[in-house]
Amino acid sequence: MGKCEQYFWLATEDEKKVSVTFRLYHNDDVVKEISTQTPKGFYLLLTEGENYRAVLETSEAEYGKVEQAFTACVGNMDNPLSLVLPLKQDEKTIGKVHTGFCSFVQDLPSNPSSEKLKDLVLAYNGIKDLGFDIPTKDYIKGAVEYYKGNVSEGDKKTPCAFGDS
Amino acid sequence: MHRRRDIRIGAIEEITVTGVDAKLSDFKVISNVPEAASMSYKFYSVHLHADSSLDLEYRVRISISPSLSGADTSKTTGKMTHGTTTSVGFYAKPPDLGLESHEEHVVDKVYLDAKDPRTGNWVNLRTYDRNDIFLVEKKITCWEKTPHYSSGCELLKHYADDQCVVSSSGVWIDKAAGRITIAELDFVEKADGKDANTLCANCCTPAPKGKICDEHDIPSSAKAGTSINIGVCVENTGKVKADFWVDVKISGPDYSTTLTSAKKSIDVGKKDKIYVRWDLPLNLKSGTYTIDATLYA
Repeated sequence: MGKCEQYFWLATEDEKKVSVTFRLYHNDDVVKEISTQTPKGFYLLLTEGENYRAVLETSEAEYGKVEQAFTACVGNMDNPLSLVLPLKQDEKTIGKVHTGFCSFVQDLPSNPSSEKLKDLVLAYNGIKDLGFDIPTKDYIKGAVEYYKGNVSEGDKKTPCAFGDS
Repeated sequence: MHRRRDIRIGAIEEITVTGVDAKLSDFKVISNVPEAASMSYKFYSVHLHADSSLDLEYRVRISISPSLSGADTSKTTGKMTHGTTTSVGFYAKPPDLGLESHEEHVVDKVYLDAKDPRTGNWVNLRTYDRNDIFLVEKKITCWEKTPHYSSGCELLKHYADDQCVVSSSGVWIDKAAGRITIAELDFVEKADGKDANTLCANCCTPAPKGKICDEHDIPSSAKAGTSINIGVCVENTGKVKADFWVDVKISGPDYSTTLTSAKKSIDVGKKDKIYVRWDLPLNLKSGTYTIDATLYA
């Protein structure tokens, strides 16, 4: 397959001058990396018909990242492949999901159950399968703290984080 | 009958009369003025130096050729303490004159009068011949080229925020720096605090604006090897219906991934949930995974 000229246009949504990093991937390998400033237009010689992925990002906090998969070569000089960094509208932590052990013990502080503690001990000793691993004794100690209502102490001994949720 | 001879009956003392020495100086055109002005603009000023020994009330009159509707031509000072100086400014708020181009006006005479304290009549002290030129600038319109912008709309957009609300806070600095004319300044002043589209319909498109609200749809627990849907609450707080999407970053013990949602159209003022699907790897460790969302529009 022959080479073709792939034109790119790098910009930000608010048309500002921003330092950016452009990476071109082919089969998950970076084949080209360019550090430049927006706005910027350029072309690269790519293998015609091959699939690529272009990624544009910046360290400026107000912008997100943009990613575009394409088959070389699309567009032309007047209609380049456009990568425009979007402005972030809002950003926040919206919640937590507990898995495995943490999912099992998450209601212990509000709903203490000695049955659950017993099951954890059995699982730790390999007698019962709860569907997740209990790799150390600290998990049991942590569960006991949750049972007693000492959430922060429990969080210290386990990979769970119930204290600030 | 004898005619009496002229007889000198006594010596008469000579009386020295001193003229009032008030005067004007520093005749200055301050600025051009716009037609169809939204406010009065100072276009001319002089300095008045009061008489050195009398406290008098003064009046300065100017003659503008051709005459200009809406322009001051006479200003009084109130009683001035002898020997003091004041600046006298003339303002104009011309009406819509239907100008095709800028119109030249000349201040050709300036008169200084003083009020006779005994009679209350104004007495002309001095008359100055001047040739001080200023322009009445043609008004700016939405879709015609302005002196510095491709249209009045573009001018408004320059001073508008991303929601198209115009602020005139920077225009006076730009006017002083010569970056815009008085007619351009006046056009922006007319739109100050308003949506640019109220003055020039369909001129400006507000940027989409949204925020992450609080009513998310997130399961509190999940099992490795299963999939869950995470719904992020998004509110359109802008002025236009817009497409929103979210990046959801999930991070926990030895694990981090970012999921990008599809775009979803949300009406102005409405809240909606934008979902991403999280396929929990089979080998995902027990733990608490934090969900961070970033909203784009």
